Amino acid sequence: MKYIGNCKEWIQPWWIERILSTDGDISPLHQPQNQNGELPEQQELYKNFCSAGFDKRKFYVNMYTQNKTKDILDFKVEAPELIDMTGKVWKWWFIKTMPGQLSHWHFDPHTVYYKDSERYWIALHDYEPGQIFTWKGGKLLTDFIAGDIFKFDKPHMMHGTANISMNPRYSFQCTVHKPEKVSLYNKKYYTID
Amino acid sequence: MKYVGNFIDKVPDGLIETLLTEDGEITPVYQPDKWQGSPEIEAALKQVEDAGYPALDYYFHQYTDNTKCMQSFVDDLKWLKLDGVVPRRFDRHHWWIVKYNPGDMQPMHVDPHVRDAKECLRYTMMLTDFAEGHILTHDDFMLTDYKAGDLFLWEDYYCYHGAVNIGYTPRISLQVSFYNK
Repeated sequence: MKYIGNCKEWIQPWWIERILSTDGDISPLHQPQNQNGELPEQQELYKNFCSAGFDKRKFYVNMYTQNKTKDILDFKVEAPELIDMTGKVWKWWFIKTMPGQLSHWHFDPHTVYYKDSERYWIALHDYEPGQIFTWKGGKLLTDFIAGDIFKFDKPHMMHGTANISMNPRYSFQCTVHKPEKVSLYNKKYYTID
Repeated sequence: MKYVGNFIDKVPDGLIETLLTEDGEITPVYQPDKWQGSPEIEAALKQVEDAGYPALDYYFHQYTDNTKCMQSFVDDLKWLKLDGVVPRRFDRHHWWIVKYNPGDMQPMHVDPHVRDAKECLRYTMMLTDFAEGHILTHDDFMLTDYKAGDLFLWEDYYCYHGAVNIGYTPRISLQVSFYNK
């Protein structure tokens, strides 16, 4: 994860209030429609996920997706200046991970299907031990403060999240890309960060 | 955590296979009876309750010298007194093994049994190789790149730590505490 800079002024406190006080879209850990996709890597990962034995009824994250989630339909979000949008479009979503929730080790398939994808993660609160973002190589994202922007090393980088702390963990996610698709992939939303 | 060395040759034959196949003691994450005895520990329990963990009904797997499937290994685990590793004698010594299957976790916590220790040495030996998604963390630290048999000494035996498995394979570790009260 490459640190890009801080955009604390960009964060609107009322976004946070809304996200903390609503459920958004409950996005279960097990999403066969999304996880068992077209890519061989995706299918392999899905097999591993199924055989790992996660309790598929237990885990979910709260998603707040651009132009989709009722709780945030009034959010008009412009990209922070530190993210170069020249000639590009974006998808964005917020994720709230409550204590005890997780997203297993995965990559984001939607990043593969758009030309020149760039995947970003923006902290909406300061780091707290037990709020896990881990990525390839046994790395742990720590010591960030609200507004810190990180760019994924590769848009389809393997990663996973968990919250074993005592407070909600929430962040802003976006994928910036050229409008052209690399292949036909018509899923409108992909819902695990 | 300070690396001490690799002791895989001390791990009894068949132990890891047994741990992988046997459930051991199903240990709830929320244990209100265990989290009593001081205002500090009771405050920690309240944090766990306020965070919503009791309703999640989570558990992990624990193995001690009382666990049925461990009985054939108890004699072979006497080496866990770690003679030659532990620099001095302690009044108390005990070990336990934990297994986190994918999705299992222990929220951030301190170990209450050493809360009032005058001195303590706390070791962890990993019994599975590191795999992505196997999380043992404290502060801004995560333990990685280890092999089964690697033994680590905790720099702060009473640190706030936690574990979760978001990977695809079980994660097993053995804990040993030496302490005086």
